Amino acid sequence: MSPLRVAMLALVLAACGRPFDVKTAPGFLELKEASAHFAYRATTPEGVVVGVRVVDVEGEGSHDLGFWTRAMTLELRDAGGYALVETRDVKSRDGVPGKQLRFGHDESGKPYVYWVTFFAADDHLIVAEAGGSKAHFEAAQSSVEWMLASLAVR
Amino acid sequence: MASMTASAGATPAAAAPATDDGDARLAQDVAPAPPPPPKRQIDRGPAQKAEPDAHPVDKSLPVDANGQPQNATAAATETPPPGTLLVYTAHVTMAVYQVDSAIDAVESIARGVGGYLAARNDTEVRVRVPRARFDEALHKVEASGDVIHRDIAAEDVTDAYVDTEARLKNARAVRDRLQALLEKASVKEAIDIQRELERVTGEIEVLEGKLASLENRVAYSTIDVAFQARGSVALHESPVKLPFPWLGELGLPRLLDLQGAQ
Repeated sequence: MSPLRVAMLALVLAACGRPFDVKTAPGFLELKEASAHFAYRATTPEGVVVGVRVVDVEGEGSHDLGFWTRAMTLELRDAGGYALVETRDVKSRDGVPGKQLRFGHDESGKPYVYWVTFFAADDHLIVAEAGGSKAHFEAAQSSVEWMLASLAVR
Repeated sequence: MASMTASAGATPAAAAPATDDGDARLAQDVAPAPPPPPKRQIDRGPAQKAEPDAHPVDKSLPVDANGQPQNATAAATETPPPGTLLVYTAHVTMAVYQVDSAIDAVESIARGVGGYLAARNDTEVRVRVPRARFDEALHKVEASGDVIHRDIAAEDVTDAYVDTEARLKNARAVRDRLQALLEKASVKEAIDIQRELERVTGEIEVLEGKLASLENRVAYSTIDVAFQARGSVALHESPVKLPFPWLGELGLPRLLDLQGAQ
């Protein structure tokens, strides 16, 4: 999907309502400004960010979580140098099975944490990302987990 | 909000409509059962909690150039014929995460097996470990981080060693003969013999150094560990780019850029 189409999808979703629901944990501030990439994003003052993007996918196999797990892992780990620390099976608040990939990566020589959680629903993927410097992320981890657990995708 | 369809787990056979023409017709019309999905190294079930390493990582490691699992050192360290002199070298590429502590860990592992640090910088470390503990050290190094790629080579230096040893033996014999001649030589002859003796002595020192180097390379295996993204340095081959640009947008820079991405 082209960046333009992503942007258009984000605007349409903003206008029509999101195909997901997520709660903002205390200590996070939801960023209301329109984003070309994220349908939802919230941050702590220290820069621990949770973002949710909606990706339009179609065709047979588009709900194959194993495919997207492998594709994301190739992109982030094999090509990007992110360390895959853990892989988890998860469920959305409304019971849709998904995957959570927990990565670590050094940015400017400092360790950062980056999680990708995704669910397949209808003709799109709901992709929730969470990241921040390791120290700040670990301090906010329970809130991040609470927000991700609050995610409903249908 | 739209509901999720149930097609994710449905096989073509299960989804095919029923017909009234009996089993034979049904057998022709119904699509064949799909093949099992390709084996994926990442998808290993729920809550694969990593081992409590200093630098814990998911252990589902497609580590060779083709993304296939690879038996650590089996292929490279099969028992060689007696008398064979092999130099083992491992090149390991690891994910870029907690690099400083990971380099410290590699160095510590080497020292723990009787090895030593040969070189290090911000993103790479080279250690040398006793040949007898090469496998052990390599396994420990790989367990200390997320291995993206591994390459193990065994160089047979038997011929080089035997050749150098023979040349050294000959050079020493020549030196001995020259020394014997020197004792009986006239002054004029002694000058020429002395000059030749210096040349041979120099050659012996070079050959002894080469032999010692070969012995050291055989006795101590090398483990090179690089912490780098495959995307920044073309290590093997160009990665396949799927037609989903959003995959390339995943990662920390986009997520954490709270101003530029608005």
